[in-house]
Amino acid sequence: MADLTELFDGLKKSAVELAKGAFEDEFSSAKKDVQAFLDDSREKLERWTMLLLDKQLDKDEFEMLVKSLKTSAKMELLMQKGIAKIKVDKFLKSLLGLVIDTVFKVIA
Amino acid sequence: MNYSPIPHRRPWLLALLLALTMSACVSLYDAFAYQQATALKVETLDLMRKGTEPFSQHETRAEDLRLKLLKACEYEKSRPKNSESAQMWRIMTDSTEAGSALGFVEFWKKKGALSPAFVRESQGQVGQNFDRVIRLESLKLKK
Repeated sequence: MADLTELFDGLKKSAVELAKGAFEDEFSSAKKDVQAFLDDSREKLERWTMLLLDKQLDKDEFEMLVKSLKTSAKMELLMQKGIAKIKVDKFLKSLLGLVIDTVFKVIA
Repeated sequence: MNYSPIPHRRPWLLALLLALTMSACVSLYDAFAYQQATALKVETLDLMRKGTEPFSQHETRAEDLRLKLLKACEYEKSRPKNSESAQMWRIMTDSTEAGSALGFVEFWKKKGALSPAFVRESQGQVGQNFDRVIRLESLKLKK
């Protein structure tokens, strides 16, 4: 039974490491994506303002483009939410593999 | 006495295994959905390119695209555990959303013809939104 306890302790440790790896990467990559989105939006706003001043865009078109930033933000958030859920699925799949391996070690 | 460590002494383990097996958060990757999104991106951007011309000259093509986009949206809505992708498609097919495919078509229809700068910038916005849909689909787990 001592071996069994040891194995389950090992499983717990491995699962924690697995979660750390999976979700730390996810957090860092989501942070980068959001920062890139904000930088990109700022550049666009500056460019569109220049185009408006240069009369290459009319007022309606400028307003439409500015409003499109809100749509892009919604799309970005939905994508990030979806990616986070996929990471959870990937984590669960890896955890399942880990549990099965551990169980087989116990049985064998 | 038989040594049986798993079923009797670790019932939580069986429950965990069962939960892990059954608890996918997001639908699996769908090759048809991916192909549909990439094809509609190309088709939408190609129609948008004509945005500097009178809308009336492209009305039939715009209507054809609208139907294709709505069909794609319906397909996504019918997939289980696909709420984010379905919401993204709802946005892309909402004619009141600036930066969506049908939002552009509606604006073009209202204005008659658009400036080259607006068409170019809108292609960037709509194209990026399609890319988000495509990226999410491509990251989904394969069978």
